Amino acid sequence: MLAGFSVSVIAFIITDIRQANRQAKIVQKLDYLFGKVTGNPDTITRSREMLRLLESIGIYDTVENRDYLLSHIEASFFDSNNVIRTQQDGRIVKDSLLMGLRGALRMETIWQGDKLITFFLKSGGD
Amino acid sequence: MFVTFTENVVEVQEWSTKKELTRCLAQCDLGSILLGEDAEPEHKFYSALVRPQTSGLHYLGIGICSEGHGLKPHLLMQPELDIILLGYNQEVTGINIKNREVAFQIKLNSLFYYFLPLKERGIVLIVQEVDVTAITDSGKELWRYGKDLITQAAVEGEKLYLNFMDENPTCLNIISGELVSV
Repeated sequence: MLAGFSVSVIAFIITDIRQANRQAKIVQKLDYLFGKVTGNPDTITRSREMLRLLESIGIYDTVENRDYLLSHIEASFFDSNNVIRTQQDGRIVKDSLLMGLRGALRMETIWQGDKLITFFLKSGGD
Repeated sequence: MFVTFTENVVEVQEWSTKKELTRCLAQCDLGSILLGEDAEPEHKFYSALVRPQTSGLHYLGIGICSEGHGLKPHLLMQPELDIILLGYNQEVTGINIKNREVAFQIKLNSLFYYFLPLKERGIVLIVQEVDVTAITDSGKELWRYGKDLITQAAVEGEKLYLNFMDENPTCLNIISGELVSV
């Protein structure tokens, strides 16, 4: 009985650590969404384009909006019905609708296991 | 803008609609090739009109429908093989200018960024958002590697150094794609 309880506690702690680790990695990737990257010029251009799209629907780089995006991406990760394709390399592409104050964008998140790799933001036409 | 490539002149242009692009391609008397038609969504449109200087005003048209994402397609000329490599969306296509046909097409796992040609080794590295793919000059895939967003790629001798956003830096052997210690 006590052993079973210990196993449950350990499993809970491991799940909690994994979730915290995943969230920390997503937080780092939010800089990429909000145009705050350095290095390769293509990375910078792509990052700025994502910022432009986010701002076009009223999502600016604020603490509240970062929290909102973190929750949105986490929810997308846990949703089992939003997988739109599996790439050749095994990465999974999940689809979601990101709502802003002035509109919406399709957001595709690319995952390798539970690790967020990158995003695609898609608008109807701009 | 004109680029001279062996006995060909290539004129590169950007179009705001697909209709404009297809109208331009329709006027090419040597035929045309439209790439990236499965792009979703199609945001930007580009043409490369190839005019052989030896045969008067005749054109082969190459069109690209680009997904955008802030990125532009790249052209890499391979004069010794009469091939133009085009990188766009998540794809690289080699077009044989002499035969006026697609020589090879490589589907990528992430967005195309740029070409890193290593002439002396006969290898072209395709640097992407998340991956690097190595191909021979003639389009045979040698290896591919990717684990996170690439923030920097640099070649030194036989080594390719990669920096990532959320992962430790990696060093690969350019020819085999195997991990090597720094």
